Amino acid sequence: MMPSVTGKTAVSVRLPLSFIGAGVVSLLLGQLVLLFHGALVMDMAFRSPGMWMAAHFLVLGWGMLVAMGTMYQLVPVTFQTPLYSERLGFIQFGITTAGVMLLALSLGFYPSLAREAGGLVLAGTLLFLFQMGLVLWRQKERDMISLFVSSALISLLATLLAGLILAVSISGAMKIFLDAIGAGFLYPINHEALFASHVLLGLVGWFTLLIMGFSYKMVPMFALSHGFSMMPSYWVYGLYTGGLLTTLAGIWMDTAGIIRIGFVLLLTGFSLFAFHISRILRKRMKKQLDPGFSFALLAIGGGWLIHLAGVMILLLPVSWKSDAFAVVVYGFVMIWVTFSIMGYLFKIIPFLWWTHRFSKQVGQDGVPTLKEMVDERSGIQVFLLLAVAVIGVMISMVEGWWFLFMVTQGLVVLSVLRYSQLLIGVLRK
Amino acid sequence: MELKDQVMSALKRVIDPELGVNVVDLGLIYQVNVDEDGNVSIRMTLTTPGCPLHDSISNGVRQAVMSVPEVKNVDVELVWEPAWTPERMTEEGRRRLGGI
Repeated sequence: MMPSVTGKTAVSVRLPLSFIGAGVVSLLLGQLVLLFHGALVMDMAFRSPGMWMAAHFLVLGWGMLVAMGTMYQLVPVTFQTPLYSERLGFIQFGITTAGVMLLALSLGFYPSLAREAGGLVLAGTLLFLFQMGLVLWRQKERDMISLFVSSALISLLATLLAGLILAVSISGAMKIFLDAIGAGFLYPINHEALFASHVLLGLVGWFTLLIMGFSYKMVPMFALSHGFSMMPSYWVYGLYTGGLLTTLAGIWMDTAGIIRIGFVLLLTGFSLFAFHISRILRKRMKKQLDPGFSFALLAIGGGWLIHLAGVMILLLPVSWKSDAFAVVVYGFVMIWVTFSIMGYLFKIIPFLWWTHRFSKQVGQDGVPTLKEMVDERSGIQVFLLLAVAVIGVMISMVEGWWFLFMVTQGLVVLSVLRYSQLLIGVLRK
Repeated sequence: MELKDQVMSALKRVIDPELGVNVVDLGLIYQVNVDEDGNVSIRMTLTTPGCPLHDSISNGVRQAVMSVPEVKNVDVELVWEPAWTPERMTEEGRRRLGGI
């Protein structure tokens, strides 16, 4: 028996590139907002309009839109199952991008519009979940990657619902709604627990499970690794999702001991993930790894340090836990999520554009390799500068050094600008 | 040169853009059958199932073989079993990949 490939799984390059373009613009906007609101960062005033705007540009605009775009490309080919509708993908792009931009801006300038903008984000995300849910449902042979991706999508839905309930509840409409359906006894809703769940489900559930799942696809593919066991991935999944659920339970039961157990489980799961990836890399045929891919691997090391820091803050009797957690969340978003995405994008964009421009010329002279599509030397410089700058920002947050923050955050903005320029350079090939 | 040799020679022009090595030296070509009417059937694989490049490479194989004047028709079948392993690479493929 030789199973062969049938059915069209490749998606038009325009769809993922539209999401990625909007995502990179959002990354730049988010970093600029942080730069101009440096005083709020130094005061650790994260629950302020400027910080809400920056957070939503970075997490929804950058992280979520890019994740959606790359999923439109990767999910059908990885799972060898076609999309339900590419046209619906473009409609979803329009609705979600408009919603995310409006939401971020409204949180900063026009809070009264946040509900409508949030509705657009919700509608767009539901359409996305519908498309991805159908692909996963139709997939013939499910594996661990399907499990990670499905769980990430469920977490995305839960993140969105938690955010929506929080927004409605704060506005006072939730009490009216609960009274109307005879569930008034549920009021008042614990806003702190809801907010913590929203952040946890988004960062740990959606982004981390998604990056872990696709790392299991992309690491062996980019390193050409063969002959490794996938058995540890079952333990990674069990420990990490177990950690997520335990932490959620601890948050809602307001029991520090359970939260600590949850954090330790998350750290253990992530440690095993990092170890497993290192074992996969040992089995690689490709000795010299590309800069973008190496940066994504560096993000795993950084992600492990961030998880360790989270546990240490909980276990140590420190009086500044709230501020320390803010630094950990910043590190989680930048070092783990952003570095991973930036690193993988540095591989994915040349691939997308190569497929669009050169796939019909395979076998002819003058067709470049993927390495020749991107300025790798400049890429290394950008990644190094960004890594140093982000560490500088974190030190300035801990120490409250205004000057260091302005310099290093300025360097973050410059790095992102140069990174965008390098990606645009690929599209000129 | 026999037609099968011409086909193999054409296949060596199809380079995996990620690895920079041609599909023959990578050991991706499992079987090449050529009949006397110029019909060619190729059974091949890729280094990983669900590789995003599968459309590009299989189309590249088809076009390269069709460029051989005596070839009338090409049928490319992409299979995942038996799975590709590094042992299928030629010495030249290993040498080129080791330098990457």
